[in-house]
Amino acid sequence: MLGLKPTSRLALKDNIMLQGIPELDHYYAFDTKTGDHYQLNHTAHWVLESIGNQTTFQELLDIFAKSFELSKATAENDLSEIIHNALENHIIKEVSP
Amino acid sequence: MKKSIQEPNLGDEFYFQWHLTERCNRACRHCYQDGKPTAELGLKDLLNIIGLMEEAVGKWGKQGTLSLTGGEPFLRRDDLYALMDRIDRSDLLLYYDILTNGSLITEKEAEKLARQHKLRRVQVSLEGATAATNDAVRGNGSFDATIQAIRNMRKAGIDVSIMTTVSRLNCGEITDVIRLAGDEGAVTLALERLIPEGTGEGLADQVLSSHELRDLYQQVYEIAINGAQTRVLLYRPLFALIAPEDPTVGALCSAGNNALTIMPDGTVYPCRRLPIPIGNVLTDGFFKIWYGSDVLWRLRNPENLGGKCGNCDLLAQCRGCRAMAYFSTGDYMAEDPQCWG
Repeated sequence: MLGLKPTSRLALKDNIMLQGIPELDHYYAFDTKTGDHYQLNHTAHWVLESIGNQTTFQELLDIFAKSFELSKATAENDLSEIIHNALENHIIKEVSP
Repeated sequence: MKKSIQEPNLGDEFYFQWHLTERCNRACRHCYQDGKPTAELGLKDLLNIIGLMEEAVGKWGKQGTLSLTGGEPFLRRDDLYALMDRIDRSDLLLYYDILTNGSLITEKEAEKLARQHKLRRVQVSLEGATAATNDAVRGNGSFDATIQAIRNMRKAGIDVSIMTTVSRLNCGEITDVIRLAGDEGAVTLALERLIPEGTGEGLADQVLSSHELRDLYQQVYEIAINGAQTRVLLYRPLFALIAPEDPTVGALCSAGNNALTIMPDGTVYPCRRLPIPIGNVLTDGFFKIWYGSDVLWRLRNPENLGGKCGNCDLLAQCRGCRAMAYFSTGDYMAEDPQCWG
């Protein structure tokens, strides 16, 4: 699980801004400092929005599974993939509790 | 030697309209400026802005194009040349136009301008085909001065474009303006609609009705496709209604899509005709403005369009003029009041 513990705290990185045009199913993450921009799907956008200022992986997993009506295993698998991509692209960061 | 400047595909281009000053040696009755003095950035800041433009278009994988304008940009002549020299050396900024009233372009000035590598065109404005019509809007003597400027530039080998703001003051003369533009060797003629803003608010009763505009655009289209000497630019909102099947006609407004306007103090607008401040390039940078402005995000979503613009079959080709909607209704997403569809 990416080396993340259930208690690991995640937050959007500084300068990251989320935007979306839900009617067109267009979602984005932008770094307002470097200009980097990422196209997201609705689920990834939902996850990043839910991370917001800060949340733990376990809190995120619980709400993710509930909101999308997923089994625990599926939710953990899907969420891990999104978190992995977001960490790799410096959209989110792990923060100290 | 005639320069050859390749024009980018629309999808590859990001356009900056850059107003270096609001000072002007004319006092045109239809001007979008409100006549109030505005702070101006010094050359060091202007050069910094070019760096920010390069950073932005580089990140977006676009080719930057600019219009350098004012007010009257030749009132900052030394700074204007310094900026042109800098852009001439840029790998990311493809070309620039100058938008000027032409009054300061002598033969000598035209010869100097012609040596700039990335100067694509110089645009001057004419409001009619006669001095009487033009000077009634732009001031006595301006018609002759503009024609002289065009001739000076043509002689120096500079491509010239003419822009005409269409209203009831000149709609009966547009055919003659197209002919005049051809006779004077202008490569393009752009027709822009009078927006009742700034000083031009005083001419609100001269704005064409939707049916008057339809008749004018129909007439212009017929001339344009039947071998006008000059290329009439038809990629403007509402032209698509005239010939929806013609791919050279009509265009989406660039506000929020691929353009920004920068004012003399660094304030950024979506479009010069839509003067809603969305940040300052020096304090916010282009990325924060482009990604974060609620105004730009509202403009980008066609679902926000009101009235008949929101229900139009031509949304892929035309979303009306947001500035006309703004100054007519107070809501820049309202329907374009000059649409006849």
